[in-house]
Amino acid sequence: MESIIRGARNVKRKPGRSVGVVIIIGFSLAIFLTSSIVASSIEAQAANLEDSLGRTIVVTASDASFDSSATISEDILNLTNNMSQVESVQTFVTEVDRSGISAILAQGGPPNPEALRAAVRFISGQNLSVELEGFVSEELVLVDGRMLNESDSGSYNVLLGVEAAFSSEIGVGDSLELEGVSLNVVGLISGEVFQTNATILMSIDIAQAITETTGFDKVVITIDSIELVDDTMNFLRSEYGDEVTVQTASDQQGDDIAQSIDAIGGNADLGAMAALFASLLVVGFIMVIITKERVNEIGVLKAIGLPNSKIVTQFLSESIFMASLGFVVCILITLVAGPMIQTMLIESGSNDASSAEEESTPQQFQPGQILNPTPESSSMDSITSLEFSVDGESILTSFGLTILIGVIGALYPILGALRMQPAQALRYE
Amino acid sequence: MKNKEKTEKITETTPDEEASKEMLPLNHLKEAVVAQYGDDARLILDSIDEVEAILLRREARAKGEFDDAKAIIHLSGLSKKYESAGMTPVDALKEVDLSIVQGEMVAVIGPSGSGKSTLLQMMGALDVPTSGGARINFQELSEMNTKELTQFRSQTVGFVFQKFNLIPNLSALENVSIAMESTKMNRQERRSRAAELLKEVGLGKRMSHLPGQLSGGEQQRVSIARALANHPKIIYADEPTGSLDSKTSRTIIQLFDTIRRDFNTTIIIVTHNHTIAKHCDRTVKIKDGRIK
Repeated sequence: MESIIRGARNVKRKPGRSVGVVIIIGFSLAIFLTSSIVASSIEAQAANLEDSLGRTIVVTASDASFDSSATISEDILNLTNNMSQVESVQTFVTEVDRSGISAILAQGGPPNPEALRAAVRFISGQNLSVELEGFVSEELVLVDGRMLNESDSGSYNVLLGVEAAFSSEIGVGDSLELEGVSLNVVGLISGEVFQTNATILMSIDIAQAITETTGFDKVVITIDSIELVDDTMNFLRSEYGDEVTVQTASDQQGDDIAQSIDAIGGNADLGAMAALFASLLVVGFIMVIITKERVNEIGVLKAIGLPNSKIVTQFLSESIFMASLGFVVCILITLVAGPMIQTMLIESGSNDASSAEEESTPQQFQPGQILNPTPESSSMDSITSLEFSVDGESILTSFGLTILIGVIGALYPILGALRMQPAQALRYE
Repeated sequence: MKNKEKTEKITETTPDEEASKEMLPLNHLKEAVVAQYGDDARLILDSIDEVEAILLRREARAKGEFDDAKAIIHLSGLSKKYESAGMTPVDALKEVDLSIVQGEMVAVIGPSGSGKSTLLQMMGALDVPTSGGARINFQELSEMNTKELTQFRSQTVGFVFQKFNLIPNLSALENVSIAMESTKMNRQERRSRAAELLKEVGLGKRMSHLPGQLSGGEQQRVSIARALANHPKIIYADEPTGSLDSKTSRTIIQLFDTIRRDFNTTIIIVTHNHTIAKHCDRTVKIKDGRIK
């Protein structure tokens, strides 16, 4: 017991060195702890996302484009209503509003690209069913006003993309004339792609009326069990044949999302492994150094007849005490800096994937793809907006590793010193 | 220090009844002088006794009256060779024979690198000889296991180092009490004894100071107190005054004198200082690893 107390007291009596060592240990462990927390969270969320995307069936009209009529018959709603495995159905209609473009081209002369771009607007409709938990897409940002909700179904309330609003000089509360229909702007939205920012978003039935179409460009069906997805897809294919393309969301977008998840998860795993290696190295090295510099002291203790067991107990208790203090610092740093480190790891991974995404989507943008067609939980945002939370398992693992490294780092030089004759240890430099 | 008992004439023969009869009146005379002239007289008379004892021992040794079998330290053919990879081996000690009896104070002198410290380390079981035997306190060191050697270093011998070798993070009190940790004393008893020892070496008011807060002389006194902690039979002092000024050196040697007188402790001092050497019962000269 005396040896343990002496070990703890030794740490206290060299505050300068102890504080430095404790901070270094805490910092290096914090990087590891944060990385492993992030990696675990991403892994868990990725599993959820994979499940969610796998349970989402996307049905698109085979010849869908912004200039064609929607060709998925509304009968699909009757079909899906009768399927017990269907959790929810989202329907989409999108068309290009050419009124502004036609006006510019009618002026004659070479077309002004800027003016043409500013004149591009899209009419986008989506069902505002309460089962969809509102009109939600993680990628949409409400800039002004309010979002549409179920009570707006069938109404002339619309959301306007910021670019369309800017070019038309229209804001929240203003009216917008479209094909002779007066629409009420209740909110301004922005998204990551041009077409979102240039869209006029409304209840699907109003969109169908304005564009004089029936049916849908795209239907997104969420199934409650992944085991029933294949059967459902086969059924739809058999019903619609070549008229539609039926695939899961993971097939349709999964490569991009999977790449993003892989990149983010890979970065986090790599970060965790690198941090673990660095922590082991740093903490172990520090323990070796501070113990080796006291081989002389071990020689004195042997020379005055202190048994080896008491010497080991003293030095190990010092090492464990210092490692424990370092762990406390680690927790503090993790709580403060963890969210920032997580953001860095995620952004570095998603940047790689999103640049690949951006290359492919603008030119091949499909109707109904302005808004994220999948439920909130399946969006990449569920990964990128993960909340940082420290879980008990990560803490315990990190603590265990800390103590282990501290013990091994101290034991190695101690045992070497104990094997020496006292005179040898006294001469050690 | 307390004058516990008078130093007896150190001969291996049984005290003569006649001689002891003669001692009694002398003791009474001594006490009468002290009663009349006070403690200063006692100090002078004690010093005279001590000188007398030294002379008697020297006389006995010269007559060959000491028996190696009764020597508390007996080295026979002791050798130590240091070997390092890529370096020429060094014969630090060569066939050393030496006998020292209980209560002797012996100076070991010699030039630098002659093997003085190595000799002390062999006798104190701080290192292992290459060949030869070392019987200390009637125990063969080569026959002891690790546990027995640890106990030997704790209970039988005490070391005083030239560079003090105090534990820097421990106070003076803790540096002394740590030497008693392998005994059966409890913490309070250890601290109490450590305090008593520090008071005896004149550091009663510096017990809670760390070594860094003590002067060289004070540190050496702590080192001596530590060496005395377990009532050792033998104290080895390796250049105990090497780092100290002359005044402090005298204080340290006086301490050794008192220890030897009060406890009949055998003291071996490695020194370059011939004044200290003359103060001892005898001098062992060592050169190139051999005793001259």
